[in-house]
Amino acid sequence: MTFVPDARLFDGHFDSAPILPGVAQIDFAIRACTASGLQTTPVTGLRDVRFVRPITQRGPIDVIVAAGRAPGHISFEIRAAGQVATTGVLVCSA
Amino acid sequence: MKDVRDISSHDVATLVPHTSVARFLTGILSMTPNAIAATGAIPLGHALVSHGRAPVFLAIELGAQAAAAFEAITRAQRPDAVAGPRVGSLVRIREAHFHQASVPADTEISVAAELMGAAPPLAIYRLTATIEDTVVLTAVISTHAGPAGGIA
Repeated sequence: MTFVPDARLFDGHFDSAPILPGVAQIDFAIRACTASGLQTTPVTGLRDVRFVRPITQRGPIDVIVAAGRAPGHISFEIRAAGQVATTGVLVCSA
Repeated sequence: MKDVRDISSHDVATLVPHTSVARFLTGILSMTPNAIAATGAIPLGHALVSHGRAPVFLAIELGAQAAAAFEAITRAQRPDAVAGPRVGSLVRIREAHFHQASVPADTEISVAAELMGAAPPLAIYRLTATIEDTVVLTAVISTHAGPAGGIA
């Protein structure tokens, strides 16, 4: 699933070198998860979210979601400019 | 947590590099050698605010800013201190628990960031965010100080 982040998400984060905040990436992961149909209950937590590369571009980002290893866990990967930026797990309520 | 009254006089703009709607931190309540208590709010104008409410996980960002302030204050107390906020990174959310789905914007959130361990430039903090004594989020995060120190 592809998203184009709202340019306002970069405002003030940071003036010298804008990057997409990690919490904004979490929002995209949850939206992708919801749209995929994998999530049937509310997201109530996160596990092992790793921000491996800052997203500095204001172009599209790709979010890939898949059923996780544990019940209620959904793994996600966010790519920007073709490179993995963030990986993690959304935890949904039982 | 020991009360450090002079901390309250700090202008948060000198502690974190965030500006405009990205700056959630509004004040420092107290600080010890390994923890900080602070206040903040999600600005109504933030892009993720809808119908006056924000996703609760934005409190992780507030916690990271509190951790940044903790490091800035700690850094300023060193003999070789260089003043001013410095950009660093939130590199990992080890775990987070959402106790509710959203929080009201423009409403005071209290946050505590406890330093659990550090191997500079990496540090681990346990975060607890509350609104009117109700816990809304807990999390454990890892941060990486920027080239000259600090957290973003």
